[in-house]
Amino acid sequence: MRETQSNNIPIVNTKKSRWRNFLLFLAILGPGIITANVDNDAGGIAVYSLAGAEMGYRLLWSLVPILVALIVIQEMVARMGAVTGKGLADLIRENYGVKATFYIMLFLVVTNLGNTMAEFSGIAASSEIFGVSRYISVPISAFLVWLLVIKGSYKSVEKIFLVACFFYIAYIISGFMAKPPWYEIAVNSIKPTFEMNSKYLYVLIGLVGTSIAPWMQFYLQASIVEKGITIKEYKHSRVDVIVGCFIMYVVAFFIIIACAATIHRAGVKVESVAEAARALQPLAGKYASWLFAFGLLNASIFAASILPLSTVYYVCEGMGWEKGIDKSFEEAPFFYILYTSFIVIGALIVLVPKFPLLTVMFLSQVLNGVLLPFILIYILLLINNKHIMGEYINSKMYNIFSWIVVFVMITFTIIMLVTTFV
Amino acid sequence: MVALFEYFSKFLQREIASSDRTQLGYVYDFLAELGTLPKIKKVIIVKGFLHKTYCTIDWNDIAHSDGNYEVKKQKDNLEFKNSYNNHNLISLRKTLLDHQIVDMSGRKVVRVNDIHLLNTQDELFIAHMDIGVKGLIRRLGWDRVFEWFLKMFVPRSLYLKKDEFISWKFVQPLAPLEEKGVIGLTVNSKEIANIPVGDLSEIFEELDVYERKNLFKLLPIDVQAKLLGESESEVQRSLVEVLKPEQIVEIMNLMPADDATDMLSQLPRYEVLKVLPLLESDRAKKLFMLLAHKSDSAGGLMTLEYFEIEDEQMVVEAIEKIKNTEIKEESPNYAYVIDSEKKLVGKVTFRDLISAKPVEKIKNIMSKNVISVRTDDNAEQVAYILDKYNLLAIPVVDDNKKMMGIITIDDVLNYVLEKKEL
Repeated sequence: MRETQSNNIPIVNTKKSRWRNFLLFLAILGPGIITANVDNDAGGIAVYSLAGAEMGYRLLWSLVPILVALIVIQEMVARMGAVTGKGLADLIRENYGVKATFYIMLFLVVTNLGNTMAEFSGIAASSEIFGVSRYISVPISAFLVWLLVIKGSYKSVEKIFLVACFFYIAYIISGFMAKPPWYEIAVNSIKPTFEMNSKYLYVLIGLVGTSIAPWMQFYLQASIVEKGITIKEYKHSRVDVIVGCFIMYVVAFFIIIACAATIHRAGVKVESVAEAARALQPLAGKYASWLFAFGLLNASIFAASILPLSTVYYVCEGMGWEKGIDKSFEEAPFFYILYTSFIVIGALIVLVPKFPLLTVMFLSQVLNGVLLPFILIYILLLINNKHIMGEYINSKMYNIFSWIVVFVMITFTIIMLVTTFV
Repeated sequence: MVALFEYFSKFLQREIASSDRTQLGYVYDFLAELGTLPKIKKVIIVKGFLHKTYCTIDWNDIAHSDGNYEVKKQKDNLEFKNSYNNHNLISLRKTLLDHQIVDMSGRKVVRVNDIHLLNTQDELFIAHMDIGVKGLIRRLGWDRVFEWFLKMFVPRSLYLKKDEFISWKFVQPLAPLEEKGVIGLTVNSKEIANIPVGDLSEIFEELDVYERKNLFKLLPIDVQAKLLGESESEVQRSLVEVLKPEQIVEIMNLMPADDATDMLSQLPRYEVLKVLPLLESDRAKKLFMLLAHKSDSAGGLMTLEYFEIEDEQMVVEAIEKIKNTEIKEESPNYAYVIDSEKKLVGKVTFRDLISAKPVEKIKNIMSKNVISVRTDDNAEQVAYILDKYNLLAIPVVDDNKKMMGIITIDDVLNYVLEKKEL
């Protein structure tokens, strides 16, 4: 209401108007860009750092096919949200019934619980760089996240998180300052190489897994629906989605470069999170670890406030339970119980002494990978259903292309499972 | 003997044979005729796994004895097609099962987990929608195990006794009945107009954009007007889109001026230009003036409807004028007093008027020193003043103290609440 009206009024106060333009700019930051930024969470930073530190520039090329696959998948999901006005869980329920929905939701809950643990361990790791024990930082941030959402003030804080994401620029600057071999980077970022050793495969699969996750598809479609975007405004949304994917690409690209140019060049093995901070040394010198900790903390809390809430949202949507923070506990008991247990379990497990954190995080990645093909197949079936999508079903070429993407993703998952358990 | 009530989900698992004893396939859907108690008219049978084909069979062509169902026709006389249409009947599967409906007795949006069918003398009727957990567990196929478990260990469990049913007369479907995309006018559409506007607007918030528009079209025009006045701007914007200019005008004539302005400000500019000339010119002028104010200023919040009397009038004249003032919304129990130059000079409560002598001049009984705000004051200031002086309404004046309108406390409250959610 305010936006439409303020257009008609000449703005007199320039100081105010600049602020207003800035707010408007933030308001335009859409679902696609937010999804991409949540995607660069604790797990994301860890995997990109590892890829650069261990493999140097050798895996840069893989980001291009990942980018393409991400754009294709996200575009379909966004289109589905705009055409139907419904969330993904909703559509699966209406078209494939209770059983399919229930088991997908069960899987999604387990995987995202793993992802939430990863976020809390990100919080633990970054606070320990600042010298704050995890036994203090994790419970406090868990409580803050819980409160933020329950009190309904999340939306106003979201923009602060987003602004804090400009932290990634540090990697870009640091990457430049480390004076990396640009020619080698250019070649490596387009020319695919393939090595048949387990370490290479492992990191490659990690990259794919962290960039294209099941929860993103639900989250993106839900945000499109929540913004009330219809097919008329969809053109803008497509731009937003593509820009979001590119942001993810650029961030991943420069984290890898920064790590390769510093850690890999020095031949250091990354064994703790703190060592990954070395990538920021060309920029921040001795403050590198602080800068890194700040970025990791922001990314972790950002994702920790979105992941549990959104997961519980889809579950309630699919199962037909009352949901939403504007409901009271009596009205929406499942919603509150699920949400609270998500946060509590996620935070508590990180605090268990000697808990195999890395194993659990890795297992959650495996589950992500197992779940993804099913979600992708449902997405493709739904988007080609004329009763649902009308004239907005995929074109033939687009379909061939997206089935190839899905097929490659499934192959990757199978390879991952085989290499994990054989 | 057949059970009196049966669940739709139990039919869905049934195999069905033709009269020559060959298996045809499974029951897939029922089509029912709309009415106070919708009667099942046709049965859809599905066969095939990857390539599904459907056959439509009249209910009369089905023989049933002891719960066994059989098609009276020979297999060769049945035609299986790639899809089935509804024949102007309501499809239980496409419209009800797993879909969202409005529960008009509970006044909320719910999802249908199962459908309770009434079985009398070889005919089936839709009786209730099952929206409870029990229905979910039945659909998952765990009902027997679960009930056995509960009877063994928690015999007093509420689950065993409680069914969550909605009687058909309180059901308003939301999914389109036909491919044309229209929601059916069930016999119940009158019920929905009886839901208090506050509840109705909450229901509308939970619907997706398309359901919202479809359901809105079914409402009588006075309910549409009230609902639009009550809705948040985002909902309003999507609803106004479905109306033709003439309908908008008709609705706006039923609304108080400030609500009408809000609605107008949701329209694209070219729509506004279409609508304004259609309004009575007097009202159009006023609305145009209101539109020119920023929506978060006092001028944008104010309404033009209030009781205005003159200081030189006698009490009896003033009462007559108040009687003849047409006001479309609840207004505070006072009248504002203006002088010959239309400047605000005082206010009188209705109590003052009634208890004063009929021939007394207004200026002798009015209270002077009326607190007012100016058109360019912002909403926060207005809220602050209302709160500070414990007022229900406050007059708005321009730079020359000329009376422009009033702001009532609920308008400010709406604004503040809406802003909080941004």
